[in-house]
Amino acid sequence: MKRPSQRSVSLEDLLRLKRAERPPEAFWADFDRGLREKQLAALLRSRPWWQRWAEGGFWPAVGRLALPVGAIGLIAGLFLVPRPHGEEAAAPALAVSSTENVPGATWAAPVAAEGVAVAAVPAPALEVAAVVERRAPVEALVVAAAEAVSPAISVGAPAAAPARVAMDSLPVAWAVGGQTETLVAASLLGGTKRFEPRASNPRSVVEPLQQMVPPGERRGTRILTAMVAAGAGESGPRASERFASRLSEERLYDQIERFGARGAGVNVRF
Amino acid sequence: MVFRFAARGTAAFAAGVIPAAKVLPQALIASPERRQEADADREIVLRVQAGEVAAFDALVLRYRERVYGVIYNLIGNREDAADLTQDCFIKAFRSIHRFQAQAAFFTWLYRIAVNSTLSQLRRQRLRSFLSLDQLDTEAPVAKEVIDALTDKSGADRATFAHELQEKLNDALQRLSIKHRTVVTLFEIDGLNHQEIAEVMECSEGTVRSRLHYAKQQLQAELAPYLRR
Repeated sequence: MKRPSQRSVSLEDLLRLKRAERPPEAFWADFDRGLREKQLAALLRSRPWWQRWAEGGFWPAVGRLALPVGAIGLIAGLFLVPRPHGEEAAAPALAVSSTENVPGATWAAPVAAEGVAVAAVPAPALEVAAVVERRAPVEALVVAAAEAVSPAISVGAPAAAPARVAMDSLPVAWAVGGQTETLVAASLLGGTKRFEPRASNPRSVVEPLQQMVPPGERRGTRILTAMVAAGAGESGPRASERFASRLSEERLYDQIERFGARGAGVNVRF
Repeated sequence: MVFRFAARGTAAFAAGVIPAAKVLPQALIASPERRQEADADREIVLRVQAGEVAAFDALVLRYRERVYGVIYNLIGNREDAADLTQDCFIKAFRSIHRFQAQAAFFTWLYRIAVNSTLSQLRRQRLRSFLSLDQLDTEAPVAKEVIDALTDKSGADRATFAHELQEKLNDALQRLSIKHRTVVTLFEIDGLNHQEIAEVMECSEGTVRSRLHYAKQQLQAELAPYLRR
């Protein structure tokens, strides 16, 4: 490449070379033909109504705003879908009542208080299982309950392992749950006869008036349940992992004191 | 190119349906040629807005080479540039009733062309390739530069011109889209800073800054061809 320096060549000179790049004459004939076809198609093709609106053919000011306003309205509508008023309030009550009806909650706490080795099955764990049941499918409940009691079962009754089988219907799940409870009661309590009737047939002997709990106690139970649920995570498998870690009652009450749950309010201290 | 769909155009124009022509901002059409051109464009646009579709052909004939040049220099591919130029005129034709003469028609048309090209470039960023038009080495602009860079013997002049053209286009394609746009509009199409700012919808300072940076980068790329 020979480039004698007879004259200075600047960048602007080089860029001006681009002006000398031109298409051949035949190019413009093809160009005109193609443009005519496209223009005819544009004339004959009917545009959708929103484009005509947006281009101001009908109502210029509103037409330009129609799409954004409509989109905002649609998004706002998605957030403002009406929900049943009592749904949120009824959910904790359901959890509490389930907790109260779980037989394990009745017998496990005294056992732990007595310091027997059976404390491996904590009452809060079963309460959490009842809470998880409200959110997760029935299978999660069965698996969670089985995981919570599995160490005890492995000691006393190895035959309880099939409790992990997935269930499709609620009655079947409750039936299996009842069996599990019975097995747990039988294996853990062993020769302690005073727990046998309550563990084997817990629902039949409870009087309706005895189920009524003072409001303060009910509120405390609700807060306890919510805290345990929050501590146990959101998904079924994570909850079951927490059951396996076996929160003790003392630890739970420590949490309650730490969060300062009194009456209807909760004070958080760090 | 003549269209026969303007049934009511001329009559509406003659009957005074068209509103009075607006006065263009003085700053945007500084040179007398541009002002004269803008006035002529405005009259044609008003006729098209009144329904005389065939009048749009005059705008196409007036601007097709310039619009094609802008798009071609931005995209570096003549087939794509031809398609985009046609699409640009179709878009302008369909939207011309919204043109309110607050800016010059060519500024509005350039804005459509640049925006369409930038969208296309963003879509095909990974699969772009050069397809160049023939460099007319006998054109006065090119002849002077090529003569200055060769020994005038003519032996390897065509080869050198071809090589230079490829290097130049390659260097332009290495610029970012916005820098390439500024260089193309300023150095090749001859728009001033204010017009470029109008087309690109940014400030004049931004245009100057981009131009300065783009020239620095191009000088580094094309250093072997520059003689000071």
